[in-house]
Amino acid sequence: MRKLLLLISWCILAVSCSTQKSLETGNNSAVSTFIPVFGPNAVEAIFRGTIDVNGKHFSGIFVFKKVSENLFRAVLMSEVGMTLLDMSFTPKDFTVNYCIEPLSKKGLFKLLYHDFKLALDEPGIHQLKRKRNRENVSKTILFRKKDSRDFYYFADGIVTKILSKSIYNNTEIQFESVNGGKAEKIKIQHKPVKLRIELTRIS
Amino acid sequence: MNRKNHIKLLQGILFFLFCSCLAIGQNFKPVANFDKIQAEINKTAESIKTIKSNFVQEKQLSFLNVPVKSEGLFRYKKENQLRWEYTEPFKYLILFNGNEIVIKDGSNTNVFDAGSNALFKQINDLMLGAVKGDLGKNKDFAFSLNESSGQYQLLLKPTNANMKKYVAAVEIYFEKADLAVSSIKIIESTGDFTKITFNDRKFNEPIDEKTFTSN
Repeated sequence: MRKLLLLISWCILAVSCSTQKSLETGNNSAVSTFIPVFGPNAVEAIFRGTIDVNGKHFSGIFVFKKVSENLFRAVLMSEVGMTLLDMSFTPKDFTVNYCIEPLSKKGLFKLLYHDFKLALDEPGIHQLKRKRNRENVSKTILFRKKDSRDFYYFADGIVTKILSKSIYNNTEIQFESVNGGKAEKIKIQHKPVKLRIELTRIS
Repeated sequence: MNRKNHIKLLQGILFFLFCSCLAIGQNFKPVANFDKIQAEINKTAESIKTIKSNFVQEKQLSFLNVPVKSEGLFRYKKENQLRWEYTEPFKYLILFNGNEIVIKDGSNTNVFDAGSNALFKQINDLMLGAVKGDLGKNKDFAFSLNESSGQYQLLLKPTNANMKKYVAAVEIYFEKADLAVSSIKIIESTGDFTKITFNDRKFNEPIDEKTFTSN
Protein backbone atom coordinates (compact mmCIF):
# COMPACT_ATOMS: atom_id res chain seq x y z
CA MET A 1 0.00 0.00 0.00
CA ARG A 2 2.79 2.33 0.93
CA LYS A 3 4.56 1.47 -2.33
CA LEU A 4 1.33 2.12 -4.23
CA LEU A 5 0.96 5.57 -2.63
CA LEU A 6 4.57 6.34 -3.45
CA LEU A 7 3.98 5.29 -7.06
CA ILE A 8 0.85 7.46 -7.30
CA SER A 9 2.72 10.44 -5.81
CA TRP A 10 5.55 9.91 -8.28
CA CYS A 11 3.11 9.78 -11.17
CA ILE A 12 1.34 12.98 -10.03
CA LEU A 13 4.71 14.72 -9.69
CA ALA A 14 5.79 13.53 -13.12
CA VAL A 15 2.56 14.75 -14.74
CA SER A 16 2.87 18.14 -12.97
CA CYS A 17 6.41 18.62 -14.24
CA SER A 18 5.33 17.59 -17.70
CA THR A 19 2.45 20.14 -17.68
CA GLN A 20 4.72 22.93 -16.50
CA LYS A 21 7.24 22.11 -19.21
CA SER A 22 4.49 22.24 -21.81
CA LEU A 23 3.44 25.70 -20.61
CA GLU A 24 6.94 27.06 -20.59
CA THR A 25 8.17 25.75 -23.90
CA GLY A 26 4.81 24.85 -25.38
CA ASN A 27 3.82 24.75 -28.97
CA ASN A 28 4.22 28.23 -30.51
CA SER A 29 2.44 27.37 -33.70
CA ALA A 30 -0.80 28.84 -32.28
CA VAL A 31 0.64 32.34 -32.70
CA SER A 32 2.35 34.29 -35.39
CA THR A 33 5.29 36.58 -34.73
CA PHE A 34 3.75 38.98 -37.16
CA ILE A 35 3.76 42.54 -35.82
CA PRO A 36 0.97 44.60 -37.40
CA VAL A 37 3.01 47.61 -38.54
CA PHE A 38 3.53 46.89 -42.26
CA GLY A 39 0.72 44.43 -42.97
CA PRO A 40 0.94 41.20 -44.96
CA ASN A 41 3.51 41.27 -47.79
CA ALA A 42 4.10 45.01 -47.32
CA VAL A 43 7.40 46.72 -46.53
CA GLU A 44 6.33 50.37 -46.22
CA ALA A 45 4.10 52.10 -43.66
CA ILE A 46 3.22 55.78 -43.14
CA PHE A 47 1.72 57.23 -39.98
CA ARG A 48 0.73 60.65 -38.67
CA GLY A 49 2.21 60.87 -35.20
CA THR A 50 2.45 62.95 -32.08
CA ILE A 51 5.20 62.99 -29.49
CA ASP A 52 4.59 64.25 -25.96
CA VAL A 53 7.74 64.56 -23.94
CA ASN A 54 8.22 66.41 -20.67
CA GLY A 55 5.10 68.52 -21.19
CA LYS A 56 5.96 69.47 -24.77
CA HIS A 57 3.91 68.40 -27.76
CA PHE A 58 5.25 67.72 -31.26
CA SER A 59 3.64 66.26 -34.33
CA GLY A 60 4.75 64.98 -37.71
CA ILE A 61 4.70 62.13 -40.21
CA PHE A 62 6.50 58.85 -39.53
CA VAL A 63 7.66 56.72 -42.46
CA PHE A 64 8.90 53.14 -41.91
CA LYS A 65 10.48 50.83 -44.47
CA LYS A 66 11.72 47.26 -44.17
CA VAL A 67 14.68 47.47 -46.52
CA SER A 68 15.75 43.86 -46.02
CA GLU A 69 15.32 41.08 -43.45
CA ASN A 70 17.42 42.88 -40.83
CA LEU A 71 17.58 46.46 -42.08
CA PHE A 72 14.96 49.14 -41.46
CA ARG A 73 14.64 52.81 -42.29
CA ALA A 74 12.64 55.33 -40.25
CA VAL A 75 12.02 58.93 -41.25
CA LEU A 76 10.30 61.60 -39.22
CA MET A 77 9.14 64.66 -41.14
CA SER A 78 7.06 67.73 -40.40
CA GLU A 79 3.55 68.11 -41.81
CA VAL A 80 4.89 70.61 -44.36
CA GLY A 81 7.29 67.97 -45.67
CA MET A 82 10.60 68.89 -44.12
CA THR A 83 12.71 65.89 -43.08
CA LEU A 84 13.55 66.16 -39.40
CA LEU A 85 15.20 62.81 -38.74
CA ASP A 86 16.29 59.94 -41.02
CA MET A 87 17.57 56.78 -39.32
CA SER A 88 18.67 53.34 -40.56
CA PHE A 89 18.90 50.47 -38.12
CA THR A 90 19.45 46.77 -37.66
CA PRO A 91 18.62 44.71 -34.55
CA LYS A 92 22.15 45.46 -33.37
CA ASP A 93 22.91 49.08 -34.27
CA PHE A 94 21.64 52.30 -35.81
CA THR A 95 22.92 55.05 -38.08
CA VAL A 96 21.54 58.58 -38.27
CA ASN A 97 21.49 59.52 -41.96
CA TYR A 98 20.21 63.03 -41.39
CA CYS A 99 18.92 65.11 -38.51
CA ILE A 100 18.16 68.79 -38.13
CA GLU A 101 20.17 70.50 -35.44
CA PRO A 102 17.50 71.08 -32.76
CA LEU A 103 16.67 67.35 -32.66
CA SER A 104 20.24 66.12 -32.79
CA LYS A 105 20.44 64.54 -29.32
CA LYS A 106 22.08 61.20 -28.59
CA GLY A 107 19.52 60.38 -25.88
CA LEU A 108 16.64 60.94 -28.28
CA PHE A 109 18.32 58.80 -30.98
CA LYS A 110 18.75 55.93 -28.48
CA LEU A 111 15.15 56.12 -27.25
CA LEU A 112 13.70 56.23 -30.76
CA TYR A 113 16.02 53.41 -31.91
CA HIS A 114 14.84 51.28 -29.00
CA ASP A 115 11.16 52.01 -29.75
CA PHE A 116 11.41 51.57 -33.53
CA LYS A 117 13.39 48.33 -33.19
CA LEU A 118 10.88 46.97 -30.69
CA ALA A 119 7.92 47.91 -32.90
CA LEU A 120 9.34 46.75 -36.26
CA ASP A 121 11.76 43.88 -35.67
CA GLU A 122 9.78 40.62 -35.55
CA PRO A 123 11.30 37.99 -33.28
CA GLY A 124 11.69 34.52 -34.77
CA ILE A 125 9.26 31.95 -33.38
CA HIS A 126 12.21 30.02 -31.94
CA GLN A 127 13.14 33.10 -29.91
CA LEU A 128 9.85 33.13 -28.00
CA LYS A 129 9.19 31.27 -24.82
CA ARG A 130 5.65 30.97 -23.55
CA LYS A 131 4.91 32.42 -20.11
CA ARG A 132 1.93 32.36 -17.76
CA ASN A 133 -0.15 35.50 -18.32
CA ARG A 134 -0.85 36.87 -14.84
CA GLU A 135 -2.89 39.75 -16.22
CA ASN A 136 -5.65 37.21 -16.72
CA VAL A 137 -6.88 38.76 -19.94
CA SER A 138 -8.95 36.20 -21.74
CA LYS A 139 -7.67 34.92 -25.09
CA THR A 140 -4.32 36.69 -24.54
CA ILE A 141 -1.19 34.55 -24.74
CA LEU A 142 2.09 35.80 -23.35
CA PHE A 143 5.58 35.06 -24.61
CA ARG A 144 8.96 36.25 -23.52
CA LYS A 145 11.75 36.81 -26.01
CA LYS A 146 14.70 34.66 -24.99
CA ASP A 147 17.68 36.43 -23.43
CA SER A 148 15.70 39.62 -23.03
CA ARG A 149 13.08 41.31 -20.88
CA ASP A 150 10.77 41.86 -23.85
CA PHE A 151 7.27 40.40 -23.49
CA TYR A 152 4.86 39.81 -26.39
CA TYR A 153 1.10 39.60 -25.87
CA PHE A 154 -0.86 37.80 -28.57
CA ALA A 155 -4.60 37.77 -29.23
CA ASP A 156 -6.04 35.82 -32.13
CA GLY A 157 -2.52 35.09 -33.34
CA ILE A 158 -1.43 38.73 -33.65
CA VAL A 159 0.78 40.81 -31.39
CA THR A 160 -1.41 43.29 -29.51
CA LYS A 161 1.11 44.53 -26.99
CA ILE A 162 4.85 44.52 -26.42
CA LEU A 163 6.30 45.28 -23.01
CA SER A 164 10.01 45.95 -22.68
CA LYS A 165 11.37 46.17 -19.15
CA SER A 166 14.65 47.61 -18.03
CA ILE A 167 16.08 48.85 -14.76
CA TYR A 168 15.49 52.52 -15.53
CA ASN A 169 12.58 52.55 -17.94
CA ASN A 170 9.70 50.39 -19.15
CA THR A 171 8.28 50.70 -22.64
CA GLU A 172 4.82 49.54 -23.63
CA ILE A 173 3.69 49.39 -27.25
CA GLN A 174 0.02 48.82 -27.98
CA PHE A 175 -1.36 47.92 -31.40
CA GLU A 176 -4.99 48.92 -31.76
CA SER A 177 -7.78 48.50 -34.35
CA VAL A 178 -6.00 45.78 -36.28
CA ASN A 179 -7.65 45.27 -39.68
CA GLY A 180 -6.28 42.94 -42.30
CA GLY A 181 -3.11 42.50 -40.30
CA LYS A 182 -2.47 46.25 -40.02
CA ALA A 183 -2.83 48.27 -36.82
CA GLU A 184 -4.62 51.58 -37.37
CA LYS A 185 -3.18 53.00 -34.16
CA ILE A 186 0.08 52.37 -32.34
CA LYS A 187 0.72 53.80 -28.88
CA ILE A 188 4.17 53.84 -27.31
CA GLN A 189 4.36 54.76 -23.63
CA HIS A 190 7.50 55.04 -21.51
CA LYS A 191 7.57 54.86 -17.70
CA PRO A 192 8.92 56.62 -15.73
CA VAL A 193 10.42 58.56 -18.64
CA LYS A 194 7.73 61.00 -19.68
CA LEU A 195 7.60 60.10 -23.33
CA ARG A 196 4.49 59.11 -25.23
CA ILE A 197 4.23 58.51 -28.99
CA GLU A 198 0.91 57.97 -30.75
CA LEU A 199 0.76 56.93 -34.39
CA THR A 200 -2.31 56.90 -36.64
CA ARG A 201 -1.99 55.08 -39.95
CA ILE A 202 -2.05 57.02 -43.21
CA SER A 203 -1.11 54.08 -45.42
CA MET B 1 13.92 69.64 -25.86
CA ASN B 2 14.17 73.14 -24.39
CA ARG B 3 12.25 76.18 -25.62
CA LYS B 4 15.25 77.46 -27.62
CA ASN B 5 15.47 74.22 -29.58
CA HIS B 6 11.69 74.15 -29.96
CA ILE B 7 11.87 77.62 -31.54
CA LYS B 8 14.76 76.54 -33.80
CA LEU B 9 12.71 73.57 -34.98
CA LEU B 10 9.74 75.80 -35.65
CA GLN B 11 11.97 78.22 -37.57
CA GLY B 12 13.05 75.42 -39.86
CA ILE B 13 9.48 74.28 -40.39
CA LEU B 14 8.29 77.81 -41.07
CA PHE B 15 11.08 78.44 -43.55
CA PHE B 16 10.02 75.27 -45.31
CA LEU B 17 6.46 76.53 -45.28
CA PHE B 18 7.60 79.85 -46.73
CA CYS B 19 9.11 77.94 -49.63
CA SER B 20 5.80 76.13 -49.96
CA CYS B 21 3.95 79.41 -50.29
CA LEU B 22 5.84 80.24 -53.47
CA ALA B 23 5.41 77.65 -56.64
CA ILE B 24 7.32 72.17 -62.04
CA GLY B 25 8.04 71.95 -65.48
CA GLN B 26 10.18 70.73 -68.34
CA ASN B 27 13.05 71.81 -70.65
CA PHE B 28 13.83 75.10 -69.03
CA LYS B 29 16.41 77.55 -70.36
CA PRO B 30 17.54 80.94 -69.00
CA VAL B 31 15.35 83.86 -69.98
CA ALA B 32 16.93 86.52 -72.18
CA ASN B 33 15.20 89.50 -70.56
CA PHE B 34 15.29 88.83 -66.80
CA ASP B 35 14.46 92.38 -65.65
CA LYS B 36 11.45 92.73 -67.93
CA ILE B 37 9.90 89.39 -66.91
CA GLN B 38 10.60 89.95 -63.24
CA ALA B 39 8.89 93.31 -63.50
CA GLU B 40 5.85 91.65 -65.11
CA ILE B 41 5.69 89.00 -62.39
CA ASN B 42 6.03 91.65 -59.71
CA LYS B 43 3.30 93.75 -61.33
CA THR B 44 0.94 90.75 -61.35
CA ALA B 45 1.75 89.98 -57.72
CA GLU B 46 1.02 93.62 -56.84
CA SER B 47 -2.44 93.32 -58.38
CA ILE B 48 -3.33 90.22 -56.37
CA LYS B 49 -5.22 91.16 -53.22
CA THR B 50 -6.48 87.69 -52.26
CA ILE B 51 -5.78 84.09 -53.31
CA LYS B 52 -8.01 81.06 -52.76
CA SER B 53 -6.58 77.71 -53.75
CA ASN B 54 -6.41 74.02 -52.97
CA PHE B 55 -3.05 72.33 -52.78
CA VAL B 56 -1.60 68.84 -53.10
CA GLN B 57 1.67 68.13 -51.34
CA GLU B 58 3.87 65.15 -52.30
CA LYS B 59 7.02 64.31 -50.40
CA GLN B 60 9.35 62.01 -52.33
CA LEU B 61 11.83 60.02 -50.29
CA SER B 62 14.51 58.17 -52.25
CA PHE B 63 13.76 54.83 -50.58
CA LEU B 64 9.95 54.96 -50.88
CA ASN B 65 8.02 53.51 -53.82
CA VAL B 66 5.24 56.09 -53.55
CA PRO B 67 5.32 59.70 -52.29
CA VAL B 68 3.81 60.76 -48.99
CA LYS B 69 0.74 62.69 -50.11
CA SER B 70 -1.40 65.27 -48.29
CA GLU B 71 -3.74 68.03 -49.37
CA GLY B 72 -5.52 71.09 -48.08
CA LEU B 73 -6.57 74.71 -48.48
CA PHE B 74 -4.55 77.89 -49.08
CA ARG B 75 -5.92 81.35 -48.37
CA TYR B 76 -4.04 84.67 -48.64
CA LYS B 77 -5.18 88.20 -48.03
CA LYS B 78 -3.05 91.26 -48.51
CA GLU B 79 -1.07 92.56 -46.66
CA ASN B 80 -0.12 89.88 -44.23
CA GLN B 81 -2.74 87.16 -43.65
CA LEU B 82 -2.26 83.56 -44.65
CA ARG B 83 -4.13 80.31 -43.90
CA TRP B 84 -2.33 77.02 -44.71
CA GLU B 85 -4.63 74.15 -43.75
CA TYR B 86 -4.13 70.41 -44.20
CA THR B 87 -7.44 68.59 -44.52
CA GLU B 88 -6.37 65.11 -45.74
CA PRO B 89 -5.26 62.64 -44.49
CA PHE B 90 -4.95 64.66 -41.27
CA LYS B 91 -6.05 68.04 -39.89
CA TYR B 92 -3.33 70.63 -39.24
CA LEU B 93 -3.54 74.39 -39.44
CA ILE B 94 -0.93 77.14 -39.75
CA LEU B 95 -2.04 80.77 -39.67
CA PHE B 96 -0.10 83.98 -40.26
CA ASN B 97 -1.99 87.04 -39.18
CA GLY B 98 0.09 90.19 -38.92
CA ASN B 99 2.83 89.49 -36.44
CA GLU B 100 1.07 86.44 -35.03
CA ILE B 101 1.78 82.86 -36.06
CA VAL B 102 -0.73 80.21 -34.88
CA ILE B 103 -0.26 76.47 -35.20
CA LYS B 104 -3.27 74.28 -34.38
CA ASP B 105 -2.99 70.51 -34.13
CA GLY B 106 -6.19 68.94 -32.81
CA SER B 107 -6.81 70.47 -29.41
CA ASN B 108 -3.26 71.89 -29.18
CA THR B 109 -2.87 75.51 -30.23
CA ASN B 110 0.46 77.37 -30.11
CA VAL B 111 0.78 81.07 -30.73
CA PHE B 112 4.07 82.75 -31.61
CA ASP B 113 5.02 86.37 -32.10
CA ALA B 114 6.70 86.70 -35.49
CA GLY B 115 8.41 89.88 -34.32
CA SER B 116 9.88 88.30 -31.19
CA ASN B 117 12.70 86.63 -33.03
CA ALA B 118 14.97 87.79 -35.85
CA LEU B 119 14.49 84.65 -37.91
CA PHE B 120 10.70 84.69 -37.45
CA LYS B 121 10.74 88.25 -38.75
CA GLN B 122 12.93 87.19 -41.67
CA ILE B 123 10.52 84.37 -42.57
CA ASN B 124 7.55 86.70 -42.25
CA ASP B 125 9.25 89.26 -44.52
CA LEU B 126 10.16 86.53 -47.02
CA MET B 127 6.61 85.20 -47.18
CA LEU B 128 5.11 88.60 -47.72
CA GLY B 129 7.86 89.50 -50.18
CA ALA B 130 7.08 86.40 -52.21
CA VAL B 131 3.39 87.19 -52.41
CA LYS B 132 3.90 90.91 -52.98
CA GLY B 133 6.41 90.26 -55.73
CA ASP B 134 9.47 91.99 -54.29
CA LEU B 135 11.36 88.81 -53.50
CA GLY B 136 14.17 89.80 -55.88
CA LYS B 137 15.27 92.42 -53.37
CA ASN B 138 16.06 89.77 -50.76
CA LYS B 139 19.78 89.22 -50.30
CA ASP B 140 19.46 85.79 -48.65
CA PHE B 141 18.93 84.05 -52.01
CA ALA B 142 20.71 83.78 -55.33
CA PHE B 143 18.09 83.94 -58.09
CA SER B 144 17.91 82.78 -61.66
CA LEU B 145 14.92 82.83 -64.00
CA ASN B 146 14.29 80.15 -66.64
CA GLU B 147 11.46 79.45 -69.05
CA SER B 148 9.74 76.68 -70.98
CA SER B 149 6.98 77.06 -73.54
CA GLY B 150 4.28 77.42 -70.87
CA GLN B 151 6.02 78.34 -67.62
CA TYR B 152 8.63 80.47 -65.94
CA GLN B 153 10.87 78.86 -63.33
CA LEU B 154 12.34 80.95 -60.57
CA LEU B 155 15.28 79.06 -59.09
CA LEU B 156 16.29 80.10 -55.57
CA LYS B 157 19.45 78.98 -53.88
CA PRO B 158 19.89 80.11 -50.28
CA THR B 159 23.04 82.05 -49.52
CA ASN B 160 22.17 82.31 -45.84
CA ALA B 161 23.98 79.59 -43.83
CA ASN B 162 20.97 78.98 -41.57
CA MET B 163 18.65 78.30 -44.49
CA LYS B 164 21.19 76.13 -46.28
CA LYS B 165 20.85 73.65 -43.41
CA TYR B 166 17.25 72.97 -44.40
CA VAL B 167 17.01 73.54 -48.14
CA ALA B 168 19.41 73.12 -51.07
CA ALA B 169 17.19 74.84 -53.65
CA VAL B 170 13.65 75.91 -54.37
CA GLU B 171 12.06 75.86 -57.81
CA ILE B 172 9.01 78.11 -58.17
CA TYR B 173 6.85 77.76 -61.26
CA PHE B 174 4.67 80.53 -62.72
CA GLU B 175 2.17 79.89 -65.49
CA LYS B 176 2.87 82.20 -68.44
CA ALA B 177 -0.88 82.51 -68.91
CA ASP B 178 -1.45 84.37 -65.63
CA LEU B 179 2.08 84.95 -64.24
CA ALA B 180 0.95 83.51 -60.87
CA VAL B 181 2.56 80.71 -58.93
CA SER B 182 1.18 77.26 -59.83
CA SER B 183 3.63 74.83 -58.22
CA ILE B 184 6.80 74.58 -56.22
CA LYS B 185 9.54 72.02 -55.66
CA ILE B 186 11.64 72.19 -52.50
CA ILE B 187 14.84 70.19 -52.71
CA GLU B 188 16.60 69.18 -49.51
CA SER B 189 20.32 68.75 -49.06
CA THR B 190 19.79 64.96 -49.13
CA GLY B 191 18.18 65.17 -52.59
CA ASP B 192 14.70 64.27 -51.29
CA PHE B 193 12.11 66.80 -52.33
CA THR B 194 8.60 68.08 -51.69
CA LYS B 195 6.35 69.09 -54.59
CA ILE B 196 3.35 71.31 -53.95
CA THR B 197 0.81 71.92 -56.67
CA PHE B 198 -1.83 74.63 -56.37
CA ASN B 199 -5.15 73.72 -57.96
CA ASP B 200 -8.32 75.66 -58.61
CA ARG B 201 -6.62 79.05 -58.01
CA LYS B 202 -8.92 82.04 -57.65
CA PHE B 203 -7.62 85.60 -57.38
CA ASN B 204 -9.13 88.69 -55.80
CA GLU B 205 -12.28 87.03 -54.48
CA PRO B 206 -13.51 88.24 -51.08
CA ILE B 207 -12.22 86.29 -48.05
CA ASP B 208 -13.85 86.59 -44.64
CA GLU B 209 -11.65 87.81 -41.76
CA LYS B 210 -12.68 84.72 -39.77
CA THR B 211 -10.63 82.66 -42.21
CA PHE B 212 -7.50 83.91 -40.49
CA THR B 213 -8.49 82.91 -36.98
CA SER B 214 -8.10 79.45 -35.51
CA ASN B 215 -11.60 79.27 -33.99
